[in-house]
Amino acid sequence: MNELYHQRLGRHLQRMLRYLRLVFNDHFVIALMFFVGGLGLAYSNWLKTVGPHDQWLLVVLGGILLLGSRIGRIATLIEPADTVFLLPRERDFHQYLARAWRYSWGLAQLVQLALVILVMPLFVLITRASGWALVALVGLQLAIKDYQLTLAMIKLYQVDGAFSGRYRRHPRLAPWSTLTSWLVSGLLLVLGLAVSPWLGFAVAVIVALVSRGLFRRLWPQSTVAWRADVTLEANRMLGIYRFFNLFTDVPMVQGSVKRRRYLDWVLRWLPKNQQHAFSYLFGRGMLRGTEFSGLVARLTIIGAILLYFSGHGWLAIGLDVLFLYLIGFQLLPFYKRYDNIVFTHIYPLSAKQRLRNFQRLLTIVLTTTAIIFILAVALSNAPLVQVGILGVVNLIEIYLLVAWYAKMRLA
Amino acid sequence: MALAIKHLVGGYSQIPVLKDISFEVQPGELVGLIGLNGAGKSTTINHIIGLLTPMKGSIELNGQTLAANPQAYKAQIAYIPETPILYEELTLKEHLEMTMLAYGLDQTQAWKRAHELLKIFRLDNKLSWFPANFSKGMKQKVMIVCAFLTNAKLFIIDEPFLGLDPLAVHDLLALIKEVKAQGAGVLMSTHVLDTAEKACDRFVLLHSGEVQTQGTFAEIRAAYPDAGASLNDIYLALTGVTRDE
Repeated sequence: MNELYHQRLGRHLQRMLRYLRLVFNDHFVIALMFFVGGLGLAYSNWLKTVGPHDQWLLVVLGGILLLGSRIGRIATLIEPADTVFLLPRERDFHQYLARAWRYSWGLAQLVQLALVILVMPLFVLITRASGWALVALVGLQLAIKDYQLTLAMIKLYQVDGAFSGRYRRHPRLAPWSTLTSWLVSGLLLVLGLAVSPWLGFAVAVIVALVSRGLFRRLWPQSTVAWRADVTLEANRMLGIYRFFNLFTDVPMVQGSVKRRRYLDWVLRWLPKNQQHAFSYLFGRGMLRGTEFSGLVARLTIIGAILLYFSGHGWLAIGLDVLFLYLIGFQLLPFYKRYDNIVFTHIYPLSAKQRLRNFQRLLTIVLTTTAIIFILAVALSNAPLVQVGILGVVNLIEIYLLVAWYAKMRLA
Repeated sequence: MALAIKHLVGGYSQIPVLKDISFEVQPGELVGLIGLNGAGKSTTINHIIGLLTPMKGSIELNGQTLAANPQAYKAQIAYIPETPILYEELTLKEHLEMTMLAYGLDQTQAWKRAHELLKIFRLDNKLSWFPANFSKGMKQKVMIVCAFLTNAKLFIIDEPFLGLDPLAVHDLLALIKEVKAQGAGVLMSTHVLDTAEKACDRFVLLHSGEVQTQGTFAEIRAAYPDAGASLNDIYLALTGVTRDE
């Protein structure tokens, strides 16, 4: 069983590595450095305005830590076929799950550590805390995560069925329920942030140890929740693939199609003739497929919000350029969306025309996004000159993306 | 002639699947392409519709070749695939419209024809549906309607009889007769030999990438007098001979 998890983890990591290599391509790394740099600068500038009088920020800080503590789930790497093939070795499967827990624990705690370090300056500025209190804060967050992961382990077993005697009437109050875990984590954070980091840390460690004890007592008396675990793992992987899918093509993520009748008026603007036959197809595919339309919508909304708050300097222009680029280059795979449909190739239409039609779609989508971005900046009371500059920058970028970059990548 | 294949050698990789194939489809003629699984029927069709490029030999359609004038060549072909292939994001109506746009058909005329065809295949009340959610037979009917919408000179139909209800088979054969009368050639691959025997004007029998025999049913029967009376018998006898080798 140890061997099995080891094997699967190797395969899993290999696959992740392959995708990561695709995600962090040269262009993206440059864009990302720019983005992180900009955000870091904005964060540090903002920190200068924070002082002990901003006690309310402690609530925000608590919220961030609480939400952050949900990051990191148990990578069981269970496959649907396991329910059939591993069923006879149910008892031994505990070893497998323990391995999974060990791996996930390390990974999750690294993330938690990074998160706490990231928000630590804020904590220091508000509470004027000193060295050892900060260590306690780190310990508190790690203990909370440890507690949550133990609960996640308990839920991999069919505890609700076996031990619901006491909790049958109020399953939401069971120690392993999601509600309990949120409440306890929240209380621990309140204790740590508002009262004393040391006290919070001490109580969190006790909670973590008690829950571990509970797990040790519960699992030998219950069976593995196969079906729930398979679904859980599938959802976890889907989340990861969705993320990768933002950057490259992931075959496991297939967008669904929605009719979206309310958007039909947009399509009426498209010309209907042989020269624009592929526009007819691309336009409808774009609006009704959830995959690419969702991508554009998400990035446009995030970009517009960031632009609204990004002030009126270089950061705004940088963000604007970055988001247009992100949308533009992620739309390129849409060109090949219909390549596996034989008719795309046997219509008496040239590949050149297909590319031209696609460029037209790209122009329309990017122009719409650019207009929304410019509106967001204009609404944030930017001077007219700034809005004008942004408009020119967007025009140039769209031209480069459509006429040069798309052609180079696709032709 | 409509379609002329001369000494075609081709396949998917370096190793040719088709070894020197030659046959013709005349205007107004239904030619049945017959052979075992893996004999090279689909490969031949893929070459004709331009998904594969010949290694040797030529494929001409009314004097046009794919290499010299791809658009003029493709405009003459209508294709019905063995497994229906549809655009997920298009409704039935939009599939038809897409076909009209792609082939540059006159909209009013084409829609008149489309409504006739839809009525024949009882799809006329499903225009605003996504055919991707249809049953296999219904999807196939959509393919048929799209193909017969065009003014193609050559119809290529890959195994049309599986999945269609008997009524639709009957209607399809009637449609083929109709386009034949208008001077189009039809090339049809199939395993349903009883129907083929009745409907086809000529046969091309492929076996391991070669044309084993071709001609009208009478000609083939005359060439193999001992093989049997029906196409089925002759076919079994011919493939049986090679199995013994």
